Amino acid sequence: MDLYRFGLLLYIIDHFRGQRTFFGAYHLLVGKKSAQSIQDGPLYGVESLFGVLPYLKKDHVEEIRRQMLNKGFIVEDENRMTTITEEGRQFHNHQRDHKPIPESLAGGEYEFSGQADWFWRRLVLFWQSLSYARHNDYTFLPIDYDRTIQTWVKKHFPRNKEGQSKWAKQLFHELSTFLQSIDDLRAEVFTRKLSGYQHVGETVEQLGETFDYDADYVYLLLRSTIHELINTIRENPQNFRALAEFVMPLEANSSVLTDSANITRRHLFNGLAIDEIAKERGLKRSTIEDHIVEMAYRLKDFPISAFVSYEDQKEIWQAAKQQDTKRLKQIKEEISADIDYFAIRLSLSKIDKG
Amino acid sequence: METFLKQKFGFSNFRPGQREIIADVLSRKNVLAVLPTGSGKTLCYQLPSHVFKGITVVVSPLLSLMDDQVQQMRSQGDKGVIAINSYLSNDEKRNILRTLPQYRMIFVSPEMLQLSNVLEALQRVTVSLFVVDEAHCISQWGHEFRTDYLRLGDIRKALHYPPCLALTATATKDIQQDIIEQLGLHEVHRHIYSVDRENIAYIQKHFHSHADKLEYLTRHLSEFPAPGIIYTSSRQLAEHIVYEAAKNQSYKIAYYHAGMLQEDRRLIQHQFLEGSLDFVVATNAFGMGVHKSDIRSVIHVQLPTRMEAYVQEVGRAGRDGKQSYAFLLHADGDDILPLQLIQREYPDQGIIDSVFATMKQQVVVTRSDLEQRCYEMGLEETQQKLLLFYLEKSHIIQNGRVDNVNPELLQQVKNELRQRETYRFQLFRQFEESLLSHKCLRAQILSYFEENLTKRLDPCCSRCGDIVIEREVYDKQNKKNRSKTWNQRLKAMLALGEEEEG
Ligand SMILES: [Zn+2]
Repeated sequence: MDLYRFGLLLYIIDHFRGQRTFFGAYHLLVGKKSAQSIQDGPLYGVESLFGVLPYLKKDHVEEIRRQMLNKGFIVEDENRMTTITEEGRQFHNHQRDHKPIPESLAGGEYEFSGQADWFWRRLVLFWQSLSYARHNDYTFLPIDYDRTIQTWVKKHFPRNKEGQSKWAKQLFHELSTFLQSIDDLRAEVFTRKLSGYQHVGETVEQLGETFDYDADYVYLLLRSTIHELINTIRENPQNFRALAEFVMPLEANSSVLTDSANITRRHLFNGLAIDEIAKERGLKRSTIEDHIVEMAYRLKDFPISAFVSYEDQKEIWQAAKQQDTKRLKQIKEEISADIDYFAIRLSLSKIDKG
Repeated sequence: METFLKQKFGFSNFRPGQREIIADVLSRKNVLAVLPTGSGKTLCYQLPSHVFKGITVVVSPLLSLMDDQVQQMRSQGDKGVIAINSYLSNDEKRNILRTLPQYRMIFVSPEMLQLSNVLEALQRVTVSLFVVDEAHCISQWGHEFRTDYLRLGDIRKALHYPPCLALTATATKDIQQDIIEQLGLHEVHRHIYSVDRENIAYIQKHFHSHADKLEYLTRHLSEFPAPGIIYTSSRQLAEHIVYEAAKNQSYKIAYYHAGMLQEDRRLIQHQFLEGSLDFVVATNAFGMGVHKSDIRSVIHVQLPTRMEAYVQEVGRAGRDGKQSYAFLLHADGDDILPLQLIQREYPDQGIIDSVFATMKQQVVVTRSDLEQRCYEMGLEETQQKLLLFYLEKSHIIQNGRVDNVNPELLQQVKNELRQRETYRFQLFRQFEESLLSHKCLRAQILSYFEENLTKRLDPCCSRCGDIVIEREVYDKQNKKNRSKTWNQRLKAMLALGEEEEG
């Protein structure tokens, strides 16, 4: 039981190369929107796993940590920085041979921004409503109680029988076109999660039992399918006119930032300096810096040179490469004293592209 | 009235008590009703809300139950119902408050009523009926005291004393009196019904160890009448039972707990309602809003902390009036967990000291400073609310601030909290004893609520004689859908014929 989440945690810890704590890996998996976990994903090449197990509970993960320490899969130093051992690496390699991380998983893109949730919850409720309407049953208990989702579905729902019939044919056509292009297991998981007339969807546990897989793995299969579907729709909107309705409208990149960072971004565009924004918003300077680092990671082409000179960036990259580390403190010791942590964090966001 | 009932709700008869309560509510009297779980409390305000011109306000402390109720009413075509609770975003809340007059019935949590914009919106409309559900929460000595409930009396006043219906499933005489006083009800018409559910038979089994008990349950589960709910207090135990029981293929079982996806919890609820699950293993939150009338077994693997909770959980069986069963599986050492759960409700005395120890350095401390400090010290929200309530009651907090702390008063607060905890331990012991004695279980439960058993029932309980369990052959519909390919499944759901090609 729970072997898969063991494997995922070890996989992330392996990529962190002893430079993060155990809970850094946990925060990445549950999709905690802190400055730290936003940077860690891209920095260590595990961005696809951002927020892909949102239901993991902290007390449960504490227990896993104890077990891993006991089994000798990981070791922690005095600062609780966690390193994987040879046993640990063997264990997660073995796990991955059987159940690899789904290729199309893109948590950093679709879970972070809430696009996957937006799409899936609307589709599931719309589908249930359409299914009941097609069977002339209008008194069903909705599968989603959220008012925003319900209002959205009501607004987009076809009013008459004819419209409903058109929608049913079109949705079926588009979904089956997509599902035929992926493997059967993921198509099964995706469709069995849907509810409709005389069909109640199945939980990840139940699907795991049916297919003899870990529930977490089933959840990753589902999410990777949702990510791939949104991606496919984006690339060919003309072929997925019905499904395109469920995709979250892109409002100038704003959805990829946390709400607070978004406000900071607007102030920056209006030409305010960091200290002015901090004063205006009644926040600490360091919080505003966190927002800017977030933008550096989340927004393509974000100009970090406005905050750190190219010379300084180069010095930082060099130190990071020489020391083979992404730990700020270690880098700081190697570079000119007048370069601050903010500059280091910004520069690290571009290290592989620079 | 019967014609109206048939027209609006599709029932031909009232259940015991409903007719009398509704008649009093309709003639705008203040009513206190004690009606057992599963006897149709909702109808007592739902029907009058259709008759009254103004709005019916229903205060309820259970957020998920509130949501379930509203969704069920709306799905039955009743769109005049809405809930105002912390699940709403600020925008949604503002929207609802602006359009308040278009609703007929408003469910609201007590916390929301403390917000001035919610109260003001209610003051602008005509409130014809003020319903207090779970009214026992208002009593400090009740089993589920909610500090937010204490202000309901003031809120009634602010709304110019609309007629009030106070509802609860269980309330001793003292608590009934407390409810009336706290709500400031005059000329109250009381409708008190027995907590006894005659169509439920009680069966108790004792085991020497916890392990024996679990083995018995998982081995013999197919002999328990389905559908059924199995109540446990911990997630680990729920998972263990499902894991063991799932080896038996003759029934379908699943668990329901907080460590699951919200989406999947709802799916379990729907599967259980629809009949494709035989048993759900759950912590006590499951089943409150589930309107399933044919639950045949409620099985307790662990005791709740109080008799009231036990009676409510058992009451989820047999709402259709047919013979149903309450199983109590008990082993030595089963008291440890409930006692721990009670302890967890009260703030640790050492933590209270540390909250105040750090305070001396600051000149003026506001109520929210204290809240913040409680949070930092790791107090849970319910513990913090309880502590602040006693601090206000003893005037350590005055007008939202603390000027200086009188050590004697603080000691008094600590004593009071300890007394409450001890009292709850005693209540648990009393509850445990009444279930584990050798007397008739039904009579024991009734005597806890100061009632006497007046007639002999057959079947009654495992102490009064052997109980032959009637089991219908459980119809497993919906299985057929599972064997389809994904393509066929999608078509079936959308009622598309074979000619549609993918
Ligand atoms: Zn008896």
